[in-house]
Amino acid sequence: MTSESYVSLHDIDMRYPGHHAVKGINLDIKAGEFVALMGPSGCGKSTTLRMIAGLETPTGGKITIGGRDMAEVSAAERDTPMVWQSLALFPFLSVEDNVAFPLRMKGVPPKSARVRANEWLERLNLNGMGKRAVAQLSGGQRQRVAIARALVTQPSIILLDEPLSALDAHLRVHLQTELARLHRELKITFIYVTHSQSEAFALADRIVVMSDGVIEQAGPPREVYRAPQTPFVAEFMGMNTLLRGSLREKDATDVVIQTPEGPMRAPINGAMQTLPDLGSDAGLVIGADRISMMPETAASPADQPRVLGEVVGMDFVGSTQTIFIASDAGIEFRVQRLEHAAETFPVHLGSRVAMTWTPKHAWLLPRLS
Amino acid sequence: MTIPLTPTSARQPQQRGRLQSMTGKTIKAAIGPLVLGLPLALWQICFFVLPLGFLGVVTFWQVRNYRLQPAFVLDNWERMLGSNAFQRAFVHTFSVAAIATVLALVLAWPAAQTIALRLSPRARDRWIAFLILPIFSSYILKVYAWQVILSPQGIINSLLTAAGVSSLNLLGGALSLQIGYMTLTLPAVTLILTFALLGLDRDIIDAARNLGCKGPTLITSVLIPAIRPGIIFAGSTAFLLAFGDYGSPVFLTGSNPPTLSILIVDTIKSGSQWPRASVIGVTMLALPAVGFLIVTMVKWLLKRTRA
Amino acid sequence: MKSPLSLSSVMSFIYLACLALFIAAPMLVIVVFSFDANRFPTLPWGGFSIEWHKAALNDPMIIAALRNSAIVGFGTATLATILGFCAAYLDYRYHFFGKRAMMIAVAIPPAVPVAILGMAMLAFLSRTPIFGSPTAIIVSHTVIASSFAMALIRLRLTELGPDLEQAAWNLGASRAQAIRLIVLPFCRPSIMAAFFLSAAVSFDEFMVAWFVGGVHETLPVRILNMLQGQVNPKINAIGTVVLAISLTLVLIAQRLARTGKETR
Repeated sequence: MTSESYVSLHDIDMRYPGHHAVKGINLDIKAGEFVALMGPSGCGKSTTLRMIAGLETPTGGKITIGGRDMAEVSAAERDTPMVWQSLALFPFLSVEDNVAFPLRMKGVPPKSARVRANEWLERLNLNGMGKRAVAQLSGGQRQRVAIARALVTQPSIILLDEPLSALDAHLRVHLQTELARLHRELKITFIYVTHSQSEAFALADRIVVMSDGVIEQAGPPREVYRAPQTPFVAEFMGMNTLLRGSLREKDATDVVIQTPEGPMRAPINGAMQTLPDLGSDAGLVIGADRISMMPETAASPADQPRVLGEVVGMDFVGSTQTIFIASDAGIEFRVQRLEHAAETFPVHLGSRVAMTWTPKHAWLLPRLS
Repeated sequence: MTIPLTPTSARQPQQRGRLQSMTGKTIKAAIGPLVLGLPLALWQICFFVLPLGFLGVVTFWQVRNYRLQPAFVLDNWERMLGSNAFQRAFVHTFSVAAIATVLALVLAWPAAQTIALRLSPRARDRWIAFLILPIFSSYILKVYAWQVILSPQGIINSLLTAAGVSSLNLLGGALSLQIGYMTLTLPAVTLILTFALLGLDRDIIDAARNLGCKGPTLITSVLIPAIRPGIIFAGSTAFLLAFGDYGSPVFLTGSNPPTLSILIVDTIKSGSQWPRASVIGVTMLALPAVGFLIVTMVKWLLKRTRA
Repeated sequence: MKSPLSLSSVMSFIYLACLALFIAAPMLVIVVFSFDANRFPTLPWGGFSIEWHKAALNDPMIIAALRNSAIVGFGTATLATILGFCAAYLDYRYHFFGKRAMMIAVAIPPAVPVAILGMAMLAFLSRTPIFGSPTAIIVSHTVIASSFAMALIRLRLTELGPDLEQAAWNLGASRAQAIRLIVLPFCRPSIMAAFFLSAAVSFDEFMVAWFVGGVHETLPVRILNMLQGQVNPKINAIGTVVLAISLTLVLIAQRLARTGKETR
């Protein structure tokens, strides 16, 4: 635990009968940091959040918040309010009473609790909605009530469990901005569970990628995206191509890996302490936007790799085109280009293409598992 | 009941029964279940488990000089199981209850199908509400009403006489007994079948129709197999209700021949023969258990032979 | 598709109507003939009269039975609702060894034939001081009714979902506060429905009450004893009152159970 760490998970373990949900994870979160926990469903991210809230008791390890061991502190005493995916607003209470609920639990008299609740409703653009029933609000408004209810006690930390996943795309972006603003203004710790890469990248200072109960990688969004530490992270971040092989050569600056597509050069990753021995397994990752695609007949630069293949799938999001290419050696490559590139080089399913990239943009994976 | 563990949520079944070290927090977490569970457990043990258990014990006791005395004799079992009256009553009760079960299922089915599959949601809710009412309202009165309707000078016969037909002897036979049993079982059986059919994915029925299945074939090859657990539940409910019933056989057949429930009441109220009455009771309770066991074993054997 | 007025649907509606008539017939007969001036209920109708209602309400035994039924019904409803809530909440919230056995013990009593339950309670309670008192009937009826109370409240708790109560803990509510401020208000309609349904169950039950009540007759037991005697026109009159009460109780319970669904 570092001195500036506010929330600290130490060897946290969670076992259910027949299911090892969280396997001894360590994580230090600084005060005021916005951390996103990401991973596929069942990876343990929600369980981790619920353990911080005290809704689950870890079967091993220690959680401290502000230096205080949480083992004997009940959920009610932790002051770690949560925004739930289901929102969990109390349907029989008015909007105002929902927001005032945590204050009332702290013993704030009804009148001032109501005043403070309304201040927060105003702050979240819900002026005059206090007397309404929860059922009368729209989805976005309910979401704001849930956020107001979590913030009303002015906690130093708030937990969010996929808070925006029930909203449609337009509202989601809107509330995302709202959350970013609140984080900037309040300067408190946000721990945010999501499976959405765009939410995590837009909001978080640091992203924690989990898989099967372990932390695969934790770091700033760009680092997680450009410098994945494991094949899982490379795959999970989506737009990457992974080439596996064995280490053939190494010198002061570069390595060469023997892959099914032939020998591939990549720079040595500065953060790596030791390089694997010659002949041992190794992997490299190429970002989809780093690969350029051209007609099979066109030549590629002499000092660059050249891979031939066939287009097997295409995906369009706005101005970006993602093309899935099966190489002749049977590896799936992902290539991204701007849509207007199709004007000069149109492709369709079954097109034969050549691919190339600059070797210095290939990323040597530090770990293979 | 033993030491309660951590709370679980209904949505996450994998969180069940997690082990935890005995910290102060665990003890605190155990207070809730203890406060809620202990009175409940004690109540059910004192006023349900113990009385039924005691019934089993009494079957081995003796009556001496009109007083019940603790003992361990098999005499009651030998006497009761060997007695003609008991055997006849057992066979009679079992067969009329079995007939009532089949009758209730057959009579309830078309109604359940109409309510569940033909009616609008509004009308359906009204029918369901209507069917719930008689389950909780004065069975004994309804049996009496049937007595009035069916008796020799009763409503049906006075209508028949007015129409110039000679009066019929409706009361005191298999017909009147089954009318009573249907009064008891039909609402519940119809409800259970209705809910079972409502739980069915409507697309399954539409898909079957789309594939050319209709009428009786739709019922026998799609609906019945699809809701078999519901049918079994409805059937066992009907059987248990009819098998244990006292009102209908007493007031609609004049206890002739007696059913097991009548035998119990007579054995106690007239002879104070507690141990023997208890033998009848325990036998009646054992029957569904034995039936369940046989069904499970047959299922298991079928699975084995198929594999 | 078939038109809504095809032969088969007409037939099925007629069948449904016949079934409804069969179910309603005995109740209608009781009510109609309670206003018949004839001593013996048969056709033709002997003219409208409320003589038998008056006679029934002037019968001290019937009045005593009515009072007993009210006491027993109220006691049963109160106890069964409390126990039913405990059982439903335990099942919803906790997991512990033996829970299944406990839930079965709560759920199964209505499946035991009442003659056997009555005999067992009689054999057992006759060894306790409460035997032969309204308390003995309350105790026995509570065992039967808690099963229904639990079912109703458990259903409502399923709608509550796991998050709401945990959200309350998360916002600083203790276990007891969460139950008082979140679970109970949410379940209120079903708790009240359980109360009325339990009262109806108790009000309807005659076998166990007959066995353990001793000289304390409840209304259905009074009717049972009247049935075993001479034909008595008061039976229809008192039957009408009993039907009105139990139908009202069940209707209130149904209405409450439904309002619960709407507020969600």
